Amino acid sequence: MFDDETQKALMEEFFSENREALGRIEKGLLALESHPSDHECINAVFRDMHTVKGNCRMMGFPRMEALAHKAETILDRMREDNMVLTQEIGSSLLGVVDRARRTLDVIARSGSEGETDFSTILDTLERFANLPATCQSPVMARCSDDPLPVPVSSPQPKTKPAVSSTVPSGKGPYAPPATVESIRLSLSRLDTLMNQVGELGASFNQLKYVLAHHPHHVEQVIELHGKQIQWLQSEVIKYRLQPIGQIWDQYHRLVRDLSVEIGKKVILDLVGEETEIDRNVLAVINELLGHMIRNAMDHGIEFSEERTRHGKSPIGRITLSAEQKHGQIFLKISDDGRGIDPAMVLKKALTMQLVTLEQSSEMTDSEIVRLIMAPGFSTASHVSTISGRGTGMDVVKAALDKIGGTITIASTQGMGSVFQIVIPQTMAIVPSLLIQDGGETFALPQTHIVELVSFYGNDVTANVEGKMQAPMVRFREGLIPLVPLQRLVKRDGPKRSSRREIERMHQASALHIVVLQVQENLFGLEVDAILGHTSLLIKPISRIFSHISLLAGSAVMPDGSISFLLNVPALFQSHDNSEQSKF
Amino acid sequence: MFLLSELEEDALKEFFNLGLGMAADSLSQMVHNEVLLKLPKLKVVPYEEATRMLSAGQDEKLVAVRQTFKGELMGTALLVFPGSESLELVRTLLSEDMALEVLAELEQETLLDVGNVILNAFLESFTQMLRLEFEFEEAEFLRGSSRFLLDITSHVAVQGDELVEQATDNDRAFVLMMDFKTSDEENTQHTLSGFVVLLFSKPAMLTLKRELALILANL
Amino acid sequence: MEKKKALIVDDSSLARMMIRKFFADGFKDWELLEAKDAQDALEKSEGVFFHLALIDFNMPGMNGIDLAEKMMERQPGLAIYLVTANIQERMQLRAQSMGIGFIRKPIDLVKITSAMQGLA
Repeated sequence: MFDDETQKALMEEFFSENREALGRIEKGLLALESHPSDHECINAVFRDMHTVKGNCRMMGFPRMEALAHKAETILDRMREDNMVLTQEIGSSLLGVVDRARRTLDVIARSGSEGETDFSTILDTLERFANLPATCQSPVMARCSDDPLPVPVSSPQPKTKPAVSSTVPSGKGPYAPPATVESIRLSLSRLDTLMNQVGELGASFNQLKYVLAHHPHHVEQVIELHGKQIQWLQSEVIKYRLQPIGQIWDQYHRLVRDLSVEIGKKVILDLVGEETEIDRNVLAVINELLGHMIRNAMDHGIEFSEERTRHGKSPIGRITLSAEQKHGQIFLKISDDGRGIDPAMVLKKALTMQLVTLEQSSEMTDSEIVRLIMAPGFSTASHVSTISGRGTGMDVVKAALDKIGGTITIASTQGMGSVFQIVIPQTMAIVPSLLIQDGGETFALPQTHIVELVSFYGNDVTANVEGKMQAPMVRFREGLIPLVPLQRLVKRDGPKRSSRREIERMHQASALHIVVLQVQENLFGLEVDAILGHTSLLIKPISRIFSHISLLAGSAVMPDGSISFLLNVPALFQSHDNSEQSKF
Repeated sequence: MFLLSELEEDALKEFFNLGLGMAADSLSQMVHNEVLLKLPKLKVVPYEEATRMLSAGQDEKLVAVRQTFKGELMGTALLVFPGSESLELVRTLLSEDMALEVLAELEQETLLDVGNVILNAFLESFTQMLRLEFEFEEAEFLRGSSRFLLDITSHVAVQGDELVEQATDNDRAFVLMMDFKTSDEENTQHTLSGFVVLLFSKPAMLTLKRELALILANL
Repeated sequence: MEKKKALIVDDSSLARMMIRKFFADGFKDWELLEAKDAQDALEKSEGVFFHLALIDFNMPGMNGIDLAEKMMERQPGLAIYLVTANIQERMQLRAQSMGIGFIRKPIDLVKITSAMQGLA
């Protein structure tokens, strides 16, 4: 049925999986001796025994299969609560583990399970299997299988699973999806990948040949090679993407639990569950969205009576939507609750000295509302049990900064709030622009770049000017702020006044500017040199740098050096803040 | 032609709906994962049309689990899937990341289990609501065209009938067709559809009608 | 004593008949309004005050939860139970977060009775 190689691989798998399973069974049995009613443990042991049995059947070792089967029968009875693990049964099951291990050794040596006679232990196990049902342990209340109706308004409890010989270890019914450690790949996708790798191999051989015989033609081949690698990269990235629906399902439960707990009536709508996001990003936003839903339930949605009084539907509505546009993910969390009161936010911000009265007079309502994301801010007058726990919107903001995301808040008092989050779809490979500044190489993510502008000679003075004391650059019929990267990165360096900054620029023989966009804001970033476009494999920033929000990640350059990917929204924020602090 | 009254058909549909609920529960427990079965349609159709419906839009490669029941009600129950979807069903039910080879190996066994659960739940609703006694034979796994699956002569219950030789197949069998879906419109990722077919002989159909009428009269 | 009113919405006439029989057997002081789907229910119940609504989930057209939402908008304090045989967990959670109760089909007399007594 299989060729030799496959057979060999299968056998290796057979040995390693069985040995691991037997190891776990042994541990489990020992643990059960002190906690015989630990159901999770019994289930785990049962599943492992089931795996061993299945493996033996598949590979054709009927004796060992029979042994595992008998042990499984007993474990099944324990699972079903009609047998308790006594010391006697425990040692017999451990005996099964020993014998199974020895048989594996025999198989490994000889390729067959031999004539080993398990009749003694099989008889013992058979005797246990036929023991009348016991009803001793405290979990035995279910022994009578009482068909009592389920109480109103509570979820139907999932009872013990029906045993099926074909069901492998399953997740618990409500196990959170958490992070999935393996992915499923269709055969056709794998084949495409194989083909592409094959072509890559072919062009590599071609490269070797051309290098040896026509070295001056090598560039074309390298170009082709590069394209193939790029294609492979983008293909593999696709496999990292997962539908957001995987993490969303649990929010139904979260909302149900919260609504029962605090007594608010609410509907959760999920839109765009098929939107695909990088697995790493998914883990981050999972926590973040959970938190925002709690916030909406706690602070946004009102009690039914209050809603009815204000002429709203007695049932609140929270909508979570996801959408993918131009390589970015747009997440929206909206509620039709009471909205955020800028006056309340301001009052709090003033007492917390987040802003001065002077500063606040210049701030728009939406700018004031954004203060809820300032570190330590929480509008709730008391620490609530739901969204309290010391994690305010500042935590959400910080998590977003780390993955290069942004958040905007739109809130109308009495009508509700909309939080919009924009994050990159994938974190792994980022098309970037390499630039040089202050002797260092940095990368800027392509998604934020609008245009590259270089001025030389007289054009510099013609296009750069000061406005309200800040350097501005002419761009598309308008003026946008011009920020030297140095000023943002080297914060402790010498600070020139804005006037001196403009003078310096005017004297420069050439000025290189990357025009960047953060949401609706455009700004020019002045750099020493623009190097070129590339795709970088970005690693999350190491922990020592994680406090530096200006850096979104790091990448190893072809020459082995490390470059940092700049966090453009944070750059803008940092510029914005320094502008504000001038007042 | 023999037909149920609108009310009788409605009642039957409601029974099956209950049966489907039980089946979904059992399946969910079996696979530790939620399985939703929806019953959008119920049709009582003559044999020829049943064959047509089954093969409509299919590549004629179907897989089925067949179970014969005997007693106060005799007939054959089939759970039918498009052959191309059967592996996907097994995967949905078992585990996401299972290798295709392993799946193929488990296909028959799993479908037999699934078929058992679904068909039993359906028939169970008969015994509960209609108080008819019958027994199931062992389930078998079939693969083939709709004509092969519904082949009259292979159905024990129909064979047992004493019928005039000339009778057409249409007179001999009545088919209850139900197409059902796993999951719902909100989550289309793992939606699978299949048919539950109940094949009754004419006398069995009369029994069914009589029982239904009895229940409705008592309400 | 004034009669209490219940709204029964189910597309199966059998299911409605069974509920009707249940009320006739044990709760004669109730007045029932039956509807075969959400649209029908919304039309018939306009301006009527109910003490209880028993709504099927799977119905042609608008489903039971959406109907329940509409009914709650009309009458915020209305006690609503979804009566269903086959419902997805997320739908169940959704209903529960709206404060809607559940009664499984086939209808358990004990359960429906306790739901009714909870109303008094």
